[in-house]
Amino acid sequence: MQRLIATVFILWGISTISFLLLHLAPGDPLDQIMGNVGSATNREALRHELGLDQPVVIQYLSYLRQLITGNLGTNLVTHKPVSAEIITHLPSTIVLGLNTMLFAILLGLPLGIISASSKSKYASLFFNLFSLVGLSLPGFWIAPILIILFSIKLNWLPVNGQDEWSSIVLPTVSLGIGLAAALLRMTRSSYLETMNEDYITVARAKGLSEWTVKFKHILKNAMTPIVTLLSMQFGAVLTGVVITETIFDWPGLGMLFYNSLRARNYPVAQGCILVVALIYVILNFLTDVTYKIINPRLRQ
Amino acid sequence: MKLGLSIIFTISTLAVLAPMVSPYDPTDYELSARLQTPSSIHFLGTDTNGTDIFTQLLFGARLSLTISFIVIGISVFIGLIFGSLAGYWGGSIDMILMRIIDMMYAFPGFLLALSVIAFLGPSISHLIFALCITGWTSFARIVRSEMMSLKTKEFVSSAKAIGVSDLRIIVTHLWPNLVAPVSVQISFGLAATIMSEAGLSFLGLGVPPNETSWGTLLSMGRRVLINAPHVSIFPGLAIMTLVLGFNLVGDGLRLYFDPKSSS
Repeated sequence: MQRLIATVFILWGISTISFLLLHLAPGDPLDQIMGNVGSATNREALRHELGLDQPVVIQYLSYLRQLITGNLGTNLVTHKPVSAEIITHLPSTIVLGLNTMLFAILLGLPLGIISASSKSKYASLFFNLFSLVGLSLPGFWIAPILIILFSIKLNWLPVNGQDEWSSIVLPTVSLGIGLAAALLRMTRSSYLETMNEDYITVARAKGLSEWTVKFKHILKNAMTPIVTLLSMQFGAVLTGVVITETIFDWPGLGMLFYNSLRARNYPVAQGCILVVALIYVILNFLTDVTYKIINPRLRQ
Repeated sequence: MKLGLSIIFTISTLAVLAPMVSPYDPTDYELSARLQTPSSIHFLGTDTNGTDIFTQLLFGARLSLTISFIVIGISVFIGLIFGSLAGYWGGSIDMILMRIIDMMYAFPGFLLALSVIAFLGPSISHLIFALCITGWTSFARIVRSEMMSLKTKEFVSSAKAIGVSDLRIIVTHLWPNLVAPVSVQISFGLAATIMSEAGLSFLGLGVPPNETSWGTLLSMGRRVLINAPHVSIFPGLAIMTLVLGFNLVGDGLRLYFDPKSSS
């Protein structure tokens, strides 16, 4: 229950910030929407239509009232409901996000385990440097490099768009590489810590196979911080998509957000922010549920 | 850590000395020499205006580093004040602060910064403002949790017993204990800020295009990606190297202050 109140509070806060951002920004919002075009009568008509001739408090209350009923407003350009536009763009982003997570898990988790299990000093130095380089790679730089290499020079993969199944490869890699590096580091440190627990020594002493010890005992116990990182990183992915989607022309939420910001189409931008915040909050809740599944000690 | 420090030192020195060490003038452009590939005359090539890329990188480093240091400086200051208030006194200040921080965590920082700049218009001061709004929370969080554990220590109760004021306890007794966690966070914070600055400028919502930062160079490179990939490659490498430097130092500091974390 307390959680629910906190969640509602967070969403209220975010909607308020995005409302204020728009209404406290210097200048007439209509200048931002229409630029210098449009006659004075047109301007006033639009001002009235958007309710901008009302006092700010009234505007705020009616904005909140709309939100509660799930109404995110209308797109200023296409006059379609914002929620409908978000629903058409969201699946692309979710697909890209899940793909990225999968890529990062398949790369980061095994490498983390390998690096933690290896006893060689050089191997650990190598993995450490490798993961730090991965973390330091800007996604907006990796993307162009990948395009040059795989689309232009080698002609293996499409430059942008969503026409072929292979279109998703480059966006996934450029979003996922930093995430994989972070996962590698977290897996490594959590695995190393768990490895030295008494119950692992006991498990070995009982004569369990190395495989059982590694996966059923160490990895399972090392999972809690890894799950935390994954859920936090999904939030980072949702942010990263803004850049990745614009580079690759991937028609998702990130591109919708960026284009609406550039066009000063603020109801759409506001809607995107709220949806991302909502996803983030739901994700946090799911993470807590996952903890209880993987770690029975947290169930009381 | 040594590698990280030398990277940061080299790049900062080059940036400070840019007017002296750069081979060309950053405002010099020669349209006849546009988009040249690396050669002995322009050893990293030239950009779309025919300006030497190495020179641009040096001057870009000045701006990118200055912005990052200002942003982190302000963020540390705000984080220190609010984190101390909340951690030391607790109660309603703490509750309000934690709610705000929770909210900022759910509000993806990059999206917030992007929206702030989109609405205020791209400029260096707006960029700094936008990055500070999102940057201070991580410092406030760390300071608060350290303060909460420190204030129960004996040296604090002893200081209180002999009548030392709260302000004095915080500033002279507690703050010195924060050096370790805060300096680690400063390193990682600088890495993240360099990256955000570049990302925002890359999208055209950061440093305005008439100024040179590493992000604006990358953004220019994107437009000529196919014909002149070198315009994108070098600024990206520079960003990666510097961010790596800060990450290495952050990692090194963490190990130094807490040797157990290396296992």
